[in-house]
Amino acid sequence: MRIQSGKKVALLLAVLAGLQIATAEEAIAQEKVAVLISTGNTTSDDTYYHSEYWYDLMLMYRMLIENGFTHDNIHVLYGNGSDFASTHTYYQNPYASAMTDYAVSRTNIQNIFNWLAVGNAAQGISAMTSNDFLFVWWMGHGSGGAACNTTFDVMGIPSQAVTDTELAAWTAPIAHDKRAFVFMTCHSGGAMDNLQDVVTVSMPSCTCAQSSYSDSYDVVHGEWTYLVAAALRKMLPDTTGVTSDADGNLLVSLQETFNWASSQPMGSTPQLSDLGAIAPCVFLKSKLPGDDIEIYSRDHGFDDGTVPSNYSTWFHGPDLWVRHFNDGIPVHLDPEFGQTNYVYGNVHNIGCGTAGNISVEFSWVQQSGWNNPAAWNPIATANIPLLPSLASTSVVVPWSTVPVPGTYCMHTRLNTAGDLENAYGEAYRDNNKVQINVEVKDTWAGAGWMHFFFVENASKKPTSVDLAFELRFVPKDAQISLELPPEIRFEKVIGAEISKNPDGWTVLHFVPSQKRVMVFGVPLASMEKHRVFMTTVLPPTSNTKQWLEVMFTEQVRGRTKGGIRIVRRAGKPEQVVCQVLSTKMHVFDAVAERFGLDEARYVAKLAAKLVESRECRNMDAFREIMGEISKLECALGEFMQKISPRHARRYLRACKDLDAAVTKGDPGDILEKQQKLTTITSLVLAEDILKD
Amino acid sequence: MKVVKMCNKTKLLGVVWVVLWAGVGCLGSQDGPEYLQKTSRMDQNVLHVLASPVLDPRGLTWAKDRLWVIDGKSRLLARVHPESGKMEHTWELSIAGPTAVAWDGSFLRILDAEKQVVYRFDPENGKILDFIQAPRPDIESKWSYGGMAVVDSDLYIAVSAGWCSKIYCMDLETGKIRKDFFPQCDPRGLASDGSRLWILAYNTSKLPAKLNVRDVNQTSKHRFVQDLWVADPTDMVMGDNGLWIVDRQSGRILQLQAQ
Repeated sequence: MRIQSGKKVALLLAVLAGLQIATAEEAIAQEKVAVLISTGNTTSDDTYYHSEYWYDLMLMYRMLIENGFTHDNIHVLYGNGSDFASTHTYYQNPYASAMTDYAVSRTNIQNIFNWLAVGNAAQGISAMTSNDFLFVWWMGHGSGGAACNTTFDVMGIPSQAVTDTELAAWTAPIAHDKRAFVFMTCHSGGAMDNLQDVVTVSMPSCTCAQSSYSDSYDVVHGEWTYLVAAALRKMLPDTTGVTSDADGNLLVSLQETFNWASSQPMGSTPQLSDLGAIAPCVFLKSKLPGDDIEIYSRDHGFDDGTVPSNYSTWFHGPDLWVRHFNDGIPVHLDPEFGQTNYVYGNVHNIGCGTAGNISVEFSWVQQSGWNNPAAWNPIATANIPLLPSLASTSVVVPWSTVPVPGTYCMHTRLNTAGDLENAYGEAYRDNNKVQINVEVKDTWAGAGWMHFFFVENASKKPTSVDLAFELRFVPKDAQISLELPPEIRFEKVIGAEISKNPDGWTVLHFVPSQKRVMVFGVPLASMEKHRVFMTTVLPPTSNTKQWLEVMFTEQVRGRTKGGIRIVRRAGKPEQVVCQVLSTKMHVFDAVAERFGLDEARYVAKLAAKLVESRECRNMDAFREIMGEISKLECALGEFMQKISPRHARRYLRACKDLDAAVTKGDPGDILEKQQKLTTITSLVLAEDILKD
Repeated sequence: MKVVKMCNKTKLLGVVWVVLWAGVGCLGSQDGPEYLQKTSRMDQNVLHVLASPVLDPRGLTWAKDRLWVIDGKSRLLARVHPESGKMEHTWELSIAGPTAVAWDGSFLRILDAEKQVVYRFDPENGKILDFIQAPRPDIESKWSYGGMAVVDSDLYIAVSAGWCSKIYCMDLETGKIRKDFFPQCDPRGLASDGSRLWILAYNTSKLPAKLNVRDVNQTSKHRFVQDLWVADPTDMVMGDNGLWIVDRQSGRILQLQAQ
């Protein structure tokens, strides 16, 4: 997020003071503006050195829209002032209003540049500011000579022609941060010296002594326009991809554009003028191409820093992850409760300048606080002293205050002078923030495993939410059930069988053969949220590589608003037993400490004994100690009724089930019931902590 | 060589088709059927079709009721009867790269692409009388000369050079360039009826050539008047009864009704 330099210091001070601030995003307009000048009038399709006036214009216009330019900020001067009605569908104006704003003429060209310099309310054009980016594309004929002075033809009328010195003079008064010119005319290399400075990139199609040419592609195109547009769109008109993003950072810089396009077969020799060496850091897709400081972390695998990032799975940012050891492996593991975890963050600088003293703050929050930065609980803050232009780096901090098992959100917040986070809590609205949704748990595999998460409406309006469960990988004979509290109503369910549990909760039993389970039409008031329980059971015959994966998303009118990826992996039985006991040890220790309960303390002690001695790997020892633990846990039922009447029945029922499993003596069954009871205990603990 | 005069087009289209198939075969061209079929079907104003009497037809002009064709490879200038297609006379040119020819009312003007000059040539005795400098585009990338046409005392020369393509208007006697303009196409042949200038635009072998026309006094405005399915048009001339177009690839000379 770029801010006006004059306000940077004040904003930085505010942040340093720990104040909750609203950044200047809304207050300071940052625009990227384009002027497309096509100096002929197409009257015939498929005609070399004629139809390109319209075809090339269409390509450039499409490219700009795809790179985030708005229709209002693309000023088109073309032909006689009217769009051409091509017979080729792809070259018909697909937009709601005419693309062409003005007929192309010397006067209109001068006017548009003048209006961008001083503004023209009658034309609805604001004067550009020093925060803005200007892109100019010029297409048509050009003349020149040995002195490298270029004259641009306009509509074939000599009196309308524009010289390179005139173009430079007309564009000079326009305020800008950076600007770029692309020429598709003969002799256009002669204009470079007139326009060059440290904040300007020029890319003419040829030297000042050369002609430029067209070729037959999908239709006829000026070679340079076609290739530049392809590079910046990362694809040809027929959607064939091109490899213009050489560094793979998902963004195509003007340097990458030039490198790729000029390496393609052409009749002329394209030129690049870049005195300030800014072409590598000018990305048309950026909010402000060529911004000095622009840091970001990715919200999803295809996030290139664009704000807002797209909504699909933005809540699993790959630049924020957790490891159980400080091993640097860039693969997320859900945090382990009761031990020190390590939180990693990737930070990228796609600005033209070096970012200094970058603050990388990590935090966690209950799921319901995902978009409320004030509720976020700090984990630790890392500092990056210097991050050069176009560089990326990673930081890591230890996390020893992992909350009790449950579902949480984690965030990264990036701040540096020149690019501060904004006030939005939704990470997709700020490329300085990243969110991931995590489950604090012990790795579970084998039998049943229960956990809870929120279904909520975080918007300011009541709405009807659809709950979508994509069964990405569900082994045959696996079981998945979802328990919805009585407060959650819905219109329709597909892909699951419905029953009720003794507490009146709706239980959806997913049909594993389905690709998708949907709960349609859940009416939720603004900020209304409810916990739901999901229980997954891998088949008893699962080997240690078997897994189950479900992607849960909340959708409003088909648009994803949030979600969680749920993965369960089978482990070796003895490892699973030890891990479940480890969880139990930590959870009951926390319960004992919070409520002063001896029974809970003793449960933790028994669990610890087995874990620390590694006796937990011995199934006989496990069965024996479970008998003791289950009695103690069930003795806590009365207390549970006092502190959490809502969950006490479920706790007592789980206790009864555990007791039966212990009597039966099946380790898998004991594990499943034990895990369920521990999860309910975690929930009671978490809700009580929330009261603080 | 058979020639069919298409006074009754509908009736004779089939005959033309058969005759030209034969012509194509004789000349060994590979492109013929599709192009010819499209030309025959689409160009209702095709009046006449001849097989070119030379193998590498480049320049084409009309003088004294006859067609004159330049062969680029053999450097022959041939006088051809417009109805029979019979080659009546040939001159062996002592010109390095003859590529275009035009009639100024008294003499032939022949463009030498290699030496970049335009010769005045007396077709009665085969002698070169004098020459003027041809226009040279100031570019370092590829370009080539197209056709020529004479309008009063002006000589128009087409230069094909991508987006630098131009039509130059020169003083016929001095060679001084009076004006130039962008043709908005890839110009090959030029022709004039005295007030209008026709430009035959090459459009690659994938697309039909484009015939466009403009007023010689208002060269910035033009209109496309016809698509022509000729693969490699090299020149064009206005004769007494229409436009004549030569297609090097098929080895044909078409007569069109000028619109």
